[in-house]
Amino acid sequence: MTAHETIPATITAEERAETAERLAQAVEKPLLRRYHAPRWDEPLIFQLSAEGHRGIEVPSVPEGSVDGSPEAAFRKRTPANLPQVGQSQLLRHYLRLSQETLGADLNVDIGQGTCTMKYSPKINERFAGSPQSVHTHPLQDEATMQGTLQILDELQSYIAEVSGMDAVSLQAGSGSAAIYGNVKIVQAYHADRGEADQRDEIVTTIFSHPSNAATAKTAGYKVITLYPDENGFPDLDALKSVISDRTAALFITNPEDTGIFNPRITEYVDAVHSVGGICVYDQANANGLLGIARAREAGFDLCHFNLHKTFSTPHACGGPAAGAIGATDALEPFLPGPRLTRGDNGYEWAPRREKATADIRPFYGVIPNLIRAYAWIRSLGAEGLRAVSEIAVLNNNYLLAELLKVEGMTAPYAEGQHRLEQVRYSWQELTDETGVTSSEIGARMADYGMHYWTSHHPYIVPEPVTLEPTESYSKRELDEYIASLKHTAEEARNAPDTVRSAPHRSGIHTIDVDATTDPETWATSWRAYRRKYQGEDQAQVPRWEAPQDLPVRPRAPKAHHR
Amino acid sequence: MAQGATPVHPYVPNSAPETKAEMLRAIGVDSVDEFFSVIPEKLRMQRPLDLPPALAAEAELERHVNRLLGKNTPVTQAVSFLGSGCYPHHVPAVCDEINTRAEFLTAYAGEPYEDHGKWQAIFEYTSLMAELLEMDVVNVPTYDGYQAAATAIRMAGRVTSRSRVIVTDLLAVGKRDKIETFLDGAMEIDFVSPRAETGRLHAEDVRALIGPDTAAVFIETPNLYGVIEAEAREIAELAHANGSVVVCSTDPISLGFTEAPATWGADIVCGDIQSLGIGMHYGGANGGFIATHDDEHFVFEYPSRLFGLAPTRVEGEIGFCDVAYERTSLAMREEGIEWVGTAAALWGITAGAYLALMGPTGMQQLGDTVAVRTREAMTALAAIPGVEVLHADSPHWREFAVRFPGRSVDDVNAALLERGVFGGASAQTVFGRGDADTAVYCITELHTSSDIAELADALKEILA
Amino acid sequence: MSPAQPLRIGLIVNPVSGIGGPAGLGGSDGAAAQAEALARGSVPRSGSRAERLLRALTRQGVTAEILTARGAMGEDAVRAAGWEPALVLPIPEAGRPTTAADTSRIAAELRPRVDVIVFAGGDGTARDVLAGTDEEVILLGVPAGVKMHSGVFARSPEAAAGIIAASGGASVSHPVEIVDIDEEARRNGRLNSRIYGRARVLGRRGSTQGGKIGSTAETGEQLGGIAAEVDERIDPEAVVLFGPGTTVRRVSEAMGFESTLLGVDAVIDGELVGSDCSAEELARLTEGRRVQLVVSPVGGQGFLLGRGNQQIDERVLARVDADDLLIVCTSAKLGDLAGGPFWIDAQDPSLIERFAGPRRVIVGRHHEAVVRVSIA
Repeated sequence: MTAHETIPATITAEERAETAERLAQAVEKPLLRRYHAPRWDEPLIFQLSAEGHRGIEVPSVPEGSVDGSPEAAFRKRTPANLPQVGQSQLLRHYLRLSQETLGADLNVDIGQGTCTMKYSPKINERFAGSPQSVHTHPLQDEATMQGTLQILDELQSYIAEVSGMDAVSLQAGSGSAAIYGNVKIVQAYHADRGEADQRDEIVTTIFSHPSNAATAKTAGYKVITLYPDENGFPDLDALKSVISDRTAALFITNPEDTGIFNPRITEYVDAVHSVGGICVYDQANANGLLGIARAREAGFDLCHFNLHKTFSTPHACGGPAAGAIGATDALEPFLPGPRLTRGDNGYEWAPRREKATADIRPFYGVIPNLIRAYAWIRSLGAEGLRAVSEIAVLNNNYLLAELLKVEGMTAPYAEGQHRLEQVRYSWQELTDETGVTSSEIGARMADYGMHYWTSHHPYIVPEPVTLEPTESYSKRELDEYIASLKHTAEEARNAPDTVRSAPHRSGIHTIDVDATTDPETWATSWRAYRRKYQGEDQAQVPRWEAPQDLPVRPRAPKAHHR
Repeated sequence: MAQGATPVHPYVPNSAPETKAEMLRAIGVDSVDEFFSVIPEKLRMQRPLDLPPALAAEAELERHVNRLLGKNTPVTQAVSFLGSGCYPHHVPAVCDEINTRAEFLTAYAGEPYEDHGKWQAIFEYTSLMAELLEMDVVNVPTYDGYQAAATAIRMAGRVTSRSRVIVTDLLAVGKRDKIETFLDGAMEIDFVSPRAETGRLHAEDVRALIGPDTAAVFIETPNLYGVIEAEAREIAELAHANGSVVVCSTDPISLGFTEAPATWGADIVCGDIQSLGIGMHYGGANGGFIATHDDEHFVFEYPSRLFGLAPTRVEGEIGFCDVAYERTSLAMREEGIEWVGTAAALWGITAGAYLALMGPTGMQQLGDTVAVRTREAMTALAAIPGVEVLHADSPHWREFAVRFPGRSVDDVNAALLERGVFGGASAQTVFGRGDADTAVYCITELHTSSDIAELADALKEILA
Repeated sequence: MSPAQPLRIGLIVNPVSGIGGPAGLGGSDGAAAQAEALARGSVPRSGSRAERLLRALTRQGVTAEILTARGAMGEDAVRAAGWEPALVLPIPEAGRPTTAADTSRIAAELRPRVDVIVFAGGDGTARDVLAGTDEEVILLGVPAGVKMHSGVFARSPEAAAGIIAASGGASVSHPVEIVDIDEEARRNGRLNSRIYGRARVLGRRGSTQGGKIGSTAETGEQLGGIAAEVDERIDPEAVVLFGPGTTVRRVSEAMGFESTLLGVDAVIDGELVGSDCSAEELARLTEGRRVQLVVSPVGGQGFLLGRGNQQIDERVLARVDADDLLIVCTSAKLGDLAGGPFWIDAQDPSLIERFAGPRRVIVGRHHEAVVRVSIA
């Protein structure tokens, strides 16, 4: 038999054309993905436990080494009831859980508005995780830490330049912690002038982050919240009606979560200054203003940034984060945390300022995030930062223009105007028409591999969704999000039940949130579950018992049901 | 690309001129400047930001930052005995891997659908801590151990409706400040000091301070002298007899060695998770935990989030939910409501992975190793003329205090540094007060007998 | 969760609802107004609205038993939507216009037989349904009237279908106020609103929690804190008047007494000195004393004071200083009202001008909101 007798029959033209057609569909993917979330149906770690399995060995001492020492009497008799899992089994388990988590690195994460889910550059992970940083101790001699100290000093100067403020503290571990820090600075400032008792009110707005009100309340202030007028920001007259010599401070965000910039902000600041109050700028929404407008020019006395928002440090499932506080010279004496100074011996930690407010957290700050923020700023430089803001705002207005074409979606306030870096939309019209709510749309967006966030509570904008594209996503990625949202809106009309019962392509299905939220039914840990639902006995231990005459604390009524 | 145009930065894709133009056209404006027209001129920056030139090339950035970090001397390149609130324990490679997974690292506030894995990982952290602490309720992490302590004390105040608290006087200066300011206006503090002979609290001294208005007694064990609070059980008894809550701060890594505080009567246990597979990061890596029994009196006073198991509409699926009930609407309280924010979730996940990796045997072995090595170091140093080991007869774990009579710790440490040794921190630095001749030394499972010998030799030389 | 048996819905259509509006009449109450509206060529809309609801239920695959009344009061709409009613109650012959009493009677007959009463109508219909039942009845309104200020209405027939589909067998409901605006006064150019009572509406208040990390859990009411604030501001020498509404009622409960839901009560130094007072009683009680007023925005439009609360008349208002008007409102409700404005109505605006403008509203302990108060 010759070679060419084994050649198969020729493919017909029709078959070839059909294959070409099928391939074309595969290589020209539409914007709307047929996404399915990874689904491992992974058990809890406890179910993977097997007697004698070890995850890691540790340096050990011979058995009985503790005997005879003063420590012996305190040695635990039985080992802790932790699971026993081999090393690769444990790794496998957590990697599967990570796959079931939709990090910003993997999706077009513009749906978590106000969170500024921008790209956290991988190169910065090398720095934050460098052994030259991980294995350093806060109390080691400054001579051995000149690298980190220089990074902190330079980062302080960059934050000062971006904000226009005179002095910076990098100690806060998050935005809310920085806000709390600012509240304490306000408090200390007025106490220093003998006006602490007199000034017991803080004014804020409903579109500012809830931590503005909550931290003020925690510090003992009375809080006055301004609501927006038809422009989307509070009325100046409303502000003037509530400020007085009782006003300690105004805590305000600009632009607020609606993305609308209040152009009269200096009038607000002047009004508060005229009664002797301090103006504090919550710059959680700074991503559209870098190199464009600053706290200083607007007249603010204090400000704060969320480094895990504007300055790219990763969100890490909800922390660790980092916050930076900026202050004018007048408020600098009250900044918390140790002061960094530079002398003949290089950088050193100086004693705390005499009037400094209490440390917000241990030691100096969330160092790995401070290093990441530093590197991000150094990579971009002045022009880069400006480009970040210009493009973040461009992306947002592109999104706005496209989404306003979706039937049933509106952008309340500032009709026809541009926004800065985010927008709070309303699906009210769609809900009126179809009965499908914003939350339900959000659950369906998970089926396209997208996040979606409505708003802080209480909702002022009805059926809200807040979207913030940042500068990180490409036009195609924005178009993908738009396509998914548009498609979901259509489904709300044509197949509302599909949207209502979403998610369908997620790792799990709709959670019955009401089943386990009672004291009798909630299971806050595996241990609690075993006791409540499997009847496991727990050892009796000495505990505090409520005295007979303990005043009954009033409990609010349950949220729902009958 | 047009000459002189700004290069397109890799982090800002749509700044590419063609894409930018396309988008502007779609919006119907000529330039991005129009978007900013709402901002009045007087608020606009009139010059570019004054920042150093961009290191846009990744290689240039890496060179620059590595040069800076290269000026640090990590403890791995020395022999360090520093502890005092930040501890050098081993960071397992698996913990690093989990902690740096892109999915976990860049997730945020997603729902328990698209972020199901995150919710499960955090629930497992709280569950693993619950096993270690032998308590049913553990919070989603707060910022750090300082915040956890301050919050836990105020919780006790609300539970008992009383306004005084007895607090151990042996606190890190920052922790003391934090507790004092956080309680300001809400509760009064009565400090109780450890006794010089033993380096720990004595029940008698607590008894002398306790009264009908005492909401809680707050202790730490092991304390910052490394001493295990041997009379904790007695203190708890007298506190409970007085209707006071026992709040105990501890390092969870120590619970492989000592009994869980709940076993001797702690009602609220709190502390920092930094030791659990996280690393030191120059004091910048922390997470705070608060744990209680599943008692409504306590559970209703948590300001933090609590995660719970929940079924889904499909049988056999595990879901998770916020155990969110009307806690913050308890507005009859005179105290302010606290707040919840981005805190330390990924450190929690990492700490949970650490505990599962270690398992009961790993924790027990680490506990034994630390106890034995600490005692070994105490013995070695006690033999050196010019070194006085304090509280030698008391049980210790991971730390111990020494005195250098007639010398300052700063001088001793400077001399040690020349020999490549980071000596223990001075009491003045740690506590913000105290004697200049007293230092606290830290020994973990990472210290070997030869490290201890090296320290002893160096001290012998220096103090001779 | 799947209910063991299909949901039993009592459907009532008010055939005359809504005809007043398009005819240029402010509402449809009263035989005269109805006749006028029909004469002006107005076509009843409520039936078609009910039909839309049922069609939407079909699309969503909801199984239910519909119990209704004959003809235009429900049966027609049910059949037009392709459903077969499980029960049809008799009504008077066609030709005699249906009355409020008819609605109330049908509601009463349906009450024991159904899980939820769904009605197509307006505030007046809601009032009539309530009159025939009780506070515990679960209702859902399909908007078809001219005025729909009660919180019992879905936003549209389709939205109502959505609520029914998601309701899990009517196991989830929350309380609402049933309000109404006095039609005759309104036609004469005066606005006022009154609370007629309360009932329960199908569904969960607000949306499901979309908890974002970083949001304080300010869900639920802050009534204890509001009560504490009010308590602090009360002058023991003053006579304190507690206005109508559920928020004021719950604040009063936290203060140790129970204010009248529909009326005005007077308290002096912690003692209830007048309950559900008339205007005369209030005039007498407030003479010669400082007067403090605790009020909350009522209904879907945020009315604080109106002519409907005739008890708090000009004589009493004249004795109230601007700062003694204590407005209470939870954040959740303030959100529902989109942050204001609140309304006050009076025949003589100059009398109440001092109450207008941006005003502080107590929303919790140490927490106030600034809301604009406007003259209606």
